[in-house]
Amino acid sequence: MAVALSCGTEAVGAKSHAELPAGKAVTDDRTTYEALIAPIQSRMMRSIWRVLRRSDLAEDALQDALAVIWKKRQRIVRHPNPQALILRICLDVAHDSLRRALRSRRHMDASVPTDTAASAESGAIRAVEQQEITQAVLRAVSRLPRKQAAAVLMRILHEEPFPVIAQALGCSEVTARIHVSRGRARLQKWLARLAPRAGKEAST
Amino acid sequence: MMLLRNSRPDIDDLLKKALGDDLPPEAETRMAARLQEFRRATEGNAISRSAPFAPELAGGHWIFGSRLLACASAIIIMFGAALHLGGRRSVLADSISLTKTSISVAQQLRHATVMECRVKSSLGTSAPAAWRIRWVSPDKTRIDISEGDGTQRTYWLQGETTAMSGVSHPTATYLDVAQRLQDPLLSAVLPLVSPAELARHLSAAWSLKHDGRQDGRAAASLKYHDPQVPAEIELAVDDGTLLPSRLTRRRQDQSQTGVNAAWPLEAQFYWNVSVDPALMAPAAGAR
Repeated sequence: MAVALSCGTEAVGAKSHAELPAGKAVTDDRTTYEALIAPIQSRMMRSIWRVLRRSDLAEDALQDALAVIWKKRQRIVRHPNPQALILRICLDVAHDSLRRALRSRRHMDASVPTDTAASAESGAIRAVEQQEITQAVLRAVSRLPRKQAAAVLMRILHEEPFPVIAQALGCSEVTARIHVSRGRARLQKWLARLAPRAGKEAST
Repeated sequence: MMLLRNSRPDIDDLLKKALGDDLPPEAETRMAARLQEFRRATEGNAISRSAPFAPELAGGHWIFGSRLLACASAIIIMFGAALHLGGRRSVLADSISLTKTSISVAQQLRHATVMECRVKSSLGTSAPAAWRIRWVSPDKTRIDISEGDGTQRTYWLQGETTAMSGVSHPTATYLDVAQRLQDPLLSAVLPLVSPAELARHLSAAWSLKHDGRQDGRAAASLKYHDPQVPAEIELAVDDGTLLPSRLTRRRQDQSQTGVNAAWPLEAQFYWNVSVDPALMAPAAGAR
């Protein structure tokens, strides 16, 4: 079955998904990559990086995500918003990888050392602070349930509209809003010391 | 609601700041290389099995395979349940059980340390002959042969060495292989001269017939076919030790006679009995 896909754009939202240029119908495996992955490959890399922040983990997660996408390619091409689904797959894989990495380091330092470039540019103290904040946020994100994490990351980091998040999660828009709201509330609670005002307001 | 809306910028900003879009160029290069590798793997042949994506690309087949395995497992479980509920043993189950027992018997034989085997034979009109085979680990065998006319002789086998004493050779004499094979009464019991030899016959030379029986805790009876002679062999196995207790060999073709014909035999096995070590060495003065 030929399915129309958007092509040549990095956006996932409503403005991006719809029609595929003539001759780009997904009919075989050769065109699947071009139609499904190539248009958002940069976005895929960045979405995974933002959750993992370590090149080795990010590389492995990207490979896992590609494998999942390939396995589910028939389902993806029939999806109303294939690129949103791919983004969700990337975030899910990155979330799983983050959880595994934190679990494996729980007995050591309970953190995932990141490869942030900021440390080289900022002062040492600021870099350490930034590192601590990043670790705390990563730990909080890893504690979120999978769907909530995907919803929150899609909304906050990728600024996707709720209808797109709902399509990616396979739920109604109302449910997507609830996922984002609950995820936000949990993050506010867990990260209250880093965002005091937010924590206070959330608890009131 | 107002408070929640006011709180959003804080947590949103925190997340955006902590999880910034700052993919380092070197990491981007390496990830892009992975993407290109994947792209190459999917081009040309859609499922070209190039590493490292081959196992992942084969995933669809694994999913299909896993479904097959799940179906096969379910069928096996149902089949097993039906066998149990049916009450009667199936031919297949019996056959598997007999094969398993035969393998176990061969294994047990290889672990034996002392064996005594008493064999009787009657060739119809011929006078009965009797053998007493004693074997101790690792490879010493003594065979006392009594013919129907009262003639007696003794063989000692150890590895490739054979010594014999009898009426014509009062003191033990070493024989070569050709001389050893000249005695049909010795050749008749060669499968029984040691547990290892018997095990070799059970697992290789003889073929297991699947009409034996194994009734729960009772002793199993295994039937074999010796294609060389030819003959039918029935082996009674002790269910506790899984060692043979009795072996019966019958000629398949009763009309067949001569040196090459199978001797009908009935052997009784005794395991781990005491054997005088002095009896296991050829008599003094062996030449």
